[in-house]
Amino acid sequence: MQRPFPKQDAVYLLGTGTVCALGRDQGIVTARLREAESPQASIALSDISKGKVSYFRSTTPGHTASLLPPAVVAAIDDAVAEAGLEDEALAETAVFVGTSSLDIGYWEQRYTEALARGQADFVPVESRYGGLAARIAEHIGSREREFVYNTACTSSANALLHAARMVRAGFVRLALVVGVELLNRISLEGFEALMLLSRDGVRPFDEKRSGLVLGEGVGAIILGGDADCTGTNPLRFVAGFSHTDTSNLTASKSESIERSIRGALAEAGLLPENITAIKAHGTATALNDETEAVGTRRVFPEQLPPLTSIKGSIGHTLGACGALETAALSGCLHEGFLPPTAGFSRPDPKLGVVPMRTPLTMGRGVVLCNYFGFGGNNTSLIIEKSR
Amino acid sequence: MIDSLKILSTGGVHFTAENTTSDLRPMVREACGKVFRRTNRFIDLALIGANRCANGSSKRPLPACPVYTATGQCSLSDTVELMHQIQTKHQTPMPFTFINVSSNTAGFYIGQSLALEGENMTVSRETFPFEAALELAWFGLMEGRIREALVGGVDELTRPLDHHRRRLRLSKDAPIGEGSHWLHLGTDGEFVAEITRLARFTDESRFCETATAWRMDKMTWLAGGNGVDEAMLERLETRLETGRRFDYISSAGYYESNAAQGISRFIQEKPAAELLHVNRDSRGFLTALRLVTH
Repeated sequence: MQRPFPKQDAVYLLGTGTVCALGRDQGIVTARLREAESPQASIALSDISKGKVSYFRSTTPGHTASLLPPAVVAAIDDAVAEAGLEDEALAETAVFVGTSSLDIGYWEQRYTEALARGQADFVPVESRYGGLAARIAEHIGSREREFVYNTACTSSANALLHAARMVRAGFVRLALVVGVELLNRISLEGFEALMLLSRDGVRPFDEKRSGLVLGEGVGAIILGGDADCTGTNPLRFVAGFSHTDTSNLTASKSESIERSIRGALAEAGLLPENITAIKAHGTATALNDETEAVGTRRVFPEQLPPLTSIKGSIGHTLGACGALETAALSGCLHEGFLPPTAGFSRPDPKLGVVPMRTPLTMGRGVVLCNYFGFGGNNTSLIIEKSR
Repeated sequence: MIDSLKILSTGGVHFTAENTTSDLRPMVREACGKVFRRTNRFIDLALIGANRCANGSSKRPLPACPVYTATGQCSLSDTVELMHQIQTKHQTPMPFTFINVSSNTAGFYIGQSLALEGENMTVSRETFPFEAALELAWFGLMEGRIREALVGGVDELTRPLDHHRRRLRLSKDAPIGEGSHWLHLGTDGEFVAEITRLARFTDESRFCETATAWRMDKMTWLAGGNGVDEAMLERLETRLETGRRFDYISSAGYYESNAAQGISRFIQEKPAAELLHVNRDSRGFLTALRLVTH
């Protein structure tokens, strides 16, 4: 296997696109994150449990009659436009997709239509895991490799981590990383069956936190090295680390969270005191927030850096959250602030973590981003605003 | 910088549609020394293949060894069952059925069975899922970030079989199968084979231009993956002057990640031999892999 491009000293976020419950336009998303807005949205969960839970729908349509959903196209097109990539560069852009539900919502819709038609022999789920990445590659005109990562809630965080490593190594020239999570009943009913969904909103690290609110969204990020970096103030992808905690399928130990963060710091050549702020995974379930709080405090025993979770504003977008939250965060950092934690009001004395209630003005700095998932898959990433 | 992927061991399990067993637990117990509660068929297949591979290695995988699971459709039976359960039976899914359709669950159990704590990545690529996983391993080894890797291709059959064929857009009588085949890659130890080339091409003529310089001969075996038809194999034989065919597809049956079976079986069946494995996707892109067994 060849290294067709030169090694890069640094990897930058050259362009981002966010499609989520706060909107599509990066400026609007950034402004609403600054205000800690939490969209009012509620949908009937199902005719099974009769439950009604909050769900943050994307403002751009998710699954439609197309296997390349409008929300995916919108996020990608925005990222490509911001990066200013022309056809020649796009042809050399590798595609990394991270998703937990792939196109299952599309097939649910077709199945529903077939049942309505009385078509008894309909065969749901025809598509392949690799299909979405191939369609995205075709959309941008890429003739490079594509990878699909399916590692539950860390899917696109892992896609981002691997993409950045490959760009830095000169294995690929440019990378388009796309995190995708679109409304589907299997995810909704599955998390309902696990009794993890909140009935009254998402409140990360709050004493009264009551569970997840799922969200729909797509995050797209173009990564490139020095050679393709023409912007004046790009964020730098510094490093990351992923590992597996095999002690429990659905609940990692705090030691594992600690290991994930320390691994990222070691890869970056940084010490805990070099971290300016933390974007927590912060799902607002009782156990996840507690484990994350304990694991994080182990790394920062003296003083915890300012910490935020943005799931109160966009929901838990599962496999998309790695790329989507990083893209959303980049918009805020460009505007010189770290967003507050929507939904948080009362500290939980058991956690020892009090997330930000107001925006934090931030010039230069290094942000630790945590993403944890089922299957013991824990990933920490570090990004830097250098100017 | 490494110039080949060195293979410490290989192992796997496969079934055709006609020759299969519904209960995999005895095979899981034999391979892993115990059975795991609440798993599904996809996970059991993954466990059997990965553990057989690790058990056959001259070196047990160390805790930092990553697991790269390639799949075309992952836990398909459970996914289809969940859709039926929710949309036609209006039943709440069973929690573990839902958790098990999370694709990295198989890698979690492999990690648990072999005490591995490195990366656990479930990856795919249209037509080339196994090759994508191999690229990740090669990249990690090339960078020196990892010193070994378990790389496998796993897919399962669903029933009824005519639905499965329609799902894969295959003809009514197309041979279909399921399997889980793994390679333990490393940088030191006793190697059974090595992959000396793993390359991607945007069309067949570019591939032939490059592959001609690889100097294969009449002793080289040629294998075509799922996307390669007879006409293409004949063209490649003529251009590259390979002399022998290694046909694993007709006995393996179609499944998305069956290239892993092809590589694994060649290592086991053809000592001191050379294989050129070629695959092509719907856009005409090719991936070629050159393997030398010891």
